[in-house]
Amino acid sequence: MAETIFEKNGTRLTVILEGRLDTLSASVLEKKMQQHLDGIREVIMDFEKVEYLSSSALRVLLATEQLTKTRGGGVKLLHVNERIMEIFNLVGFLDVVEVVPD
Amino acid sequence: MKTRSPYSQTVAPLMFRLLPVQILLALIGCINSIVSSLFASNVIGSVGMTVTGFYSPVSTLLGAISAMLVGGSQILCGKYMGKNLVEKMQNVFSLDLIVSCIVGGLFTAFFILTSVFDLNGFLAQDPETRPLFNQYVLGQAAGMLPTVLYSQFAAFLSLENQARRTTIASIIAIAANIGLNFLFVSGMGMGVTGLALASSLSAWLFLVVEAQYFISGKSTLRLSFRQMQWRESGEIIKIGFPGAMSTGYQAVRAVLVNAMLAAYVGSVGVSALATVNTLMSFFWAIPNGMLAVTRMMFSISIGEEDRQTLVDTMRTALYRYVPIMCAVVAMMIAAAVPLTRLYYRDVSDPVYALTVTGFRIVPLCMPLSLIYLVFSCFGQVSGKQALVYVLAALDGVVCVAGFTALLIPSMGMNSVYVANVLNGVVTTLVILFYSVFKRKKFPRSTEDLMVIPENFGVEEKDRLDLSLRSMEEVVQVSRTVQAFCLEKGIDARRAYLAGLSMEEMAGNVIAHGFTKDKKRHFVDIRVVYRDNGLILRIRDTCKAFDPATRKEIAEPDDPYRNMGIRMVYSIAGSINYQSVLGLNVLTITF
Repeated sequence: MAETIFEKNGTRLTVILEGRLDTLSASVLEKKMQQHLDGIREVIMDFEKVEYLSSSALRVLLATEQLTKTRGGGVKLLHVNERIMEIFNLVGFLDVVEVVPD
Repeated sequence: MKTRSPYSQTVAPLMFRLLPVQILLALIGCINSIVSSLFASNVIGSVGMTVTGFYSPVSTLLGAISAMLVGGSQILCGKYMGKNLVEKMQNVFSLDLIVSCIVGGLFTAFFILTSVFDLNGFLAQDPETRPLFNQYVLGQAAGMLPTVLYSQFAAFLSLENQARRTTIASIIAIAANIGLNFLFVSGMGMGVTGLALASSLSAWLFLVVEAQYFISGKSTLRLSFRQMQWRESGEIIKIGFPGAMSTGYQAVRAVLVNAMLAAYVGSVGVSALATVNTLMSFFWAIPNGMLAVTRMMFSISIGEEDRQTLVDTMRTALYRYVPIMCAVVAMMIAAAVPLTRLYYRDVSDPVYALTVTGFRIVPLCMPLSLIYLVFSCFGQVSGKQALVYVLAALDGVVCVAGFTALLIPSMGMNSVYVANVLNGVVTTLVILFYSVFKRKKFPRSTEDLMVIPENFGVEEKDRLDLSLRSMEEVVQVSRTVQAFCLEKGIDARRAYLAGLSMEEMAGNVIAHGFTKDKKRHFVDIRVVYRDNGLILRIRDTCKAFDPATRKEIAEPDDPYRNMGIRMVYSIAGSINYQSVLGLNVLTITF
């Protein structure tokens, strides 16, 4: 995975992802997310430059959603491409996180 | 991640690594008959061996029918297991048990009748031995039902990843058989009735230990009479028949040879042959174990159209296994006298000399028989049905019975022994002639001898062979698979899903399989491109996949558990999992 950009604005965190979110990069992402989630209620993740996503990355998204939900917020995903949307559909992920239509 | 070249380097080590367990499994099956035969010869005398010799066609036939039901139901059940069709699996399991009960029940009723009304003349031609034989058969009849059933349970236990329970059940049954023989035969002097009852009661014990697992409610497979699809019983028999054909022929052979021996040599000949065959069954565990490994390697490589592995498997069998068999045979021949003395002490008894000669001649057939078994197995998996049927008939009955009939007037007892060796020579020649006939020239290599069609197998450019050791390599494999697919012109969506499936499934093997024990494991990956479709195969040596996990995947309590695996189940064209001989083979198609 290429560099991930984190932009914090009060209780909102914007994460700009890039490249492949595979088993190894998902583990790196998980650690970075933990560092940035203090006091965060809302997470916006930009998927525009994400080419690949495995179940390990889905687990990171799920954990983030569960954490922010307990704080009265949630996760929103932006610019999700067709292929990754298919994966979200397959595992019923769209019932859990909000995908903002382009 | 390593790109695996020459694939052949893994075949021989793998075949040797798998061999000990298979020999052990084959051994357990024959120990009980050896225990019985030792009591028969040492406590009851040679008449005990004569009776067991006359009974051998019945046990062979029962074994053949059991093997047919086991083979058919295991293959069918495994197929449904691969597709997660739980109800179909239950149906096959239930049907198999019902058919086994019917077969066991019919055999029991038939042999009770023939024993009570002295109708066993077609098996025991000698009128003096027949009253004892009737008593023996009556005792054995009590164990016919559990004998058929415990073979079925053993097969289903291995599908449930519970083969250890079968081993425990076997050990308990062996211990019980020894104890009961001491009690009935040595202690209470019950003679052949005690001998048969010991064997029957230990069969019941075997069954009870195995059945406990299915009664406990822990099993995936359960007896269910709801929505029974009876026509699948025909499918079980159809699939299982070829495997049982050879054993069926051997039952006919035993009846014919026993009849000739009774007529020309007398009951002493039947005793000597029964002794040689019984003890040799212990040594047959070696070629049978070799065959089990070879069969697995053949079936995997046929499924993958992997020409190189096919040939390497045959080479390992012919040039490594056969020489080992020759060494075993040399040891058996050298130990002919001590082996005979396990059964008979009186050197002046005619049966002693006949048995010693048997141990010096019959083992010679074993290396040749191994060649036959391996080629017959190759014929079965590669669809050379004519060769399989001819070899089965020749080896099963024609050669031994035919040569015995030809030679017995002049050679007496030795004719049966020599016939076994000549049988091996004939079947080997048939294999050679088959190649000459099919290729119109003399075979110059193993490949020629196997007569593999020219167009068989996937070209190197259309396949990808990789091996894995760590999670870092899994990620790389996923990229490589995706790139391979794109290079082959597969659309970007399918290429993506193929790479993703590889990461999820291979990652699962590394994450769970590598950490469950301290053994060293390997994961081999093959990707085949054919007709714009893809076949992904992951083969590993880790602990077998637990069927309970499979159920959890199909009907999860927590929808986010096993998310990766469920994702692959949703996107793949088909997924087939097999656990064979300690190898997990997962095949995914797109």
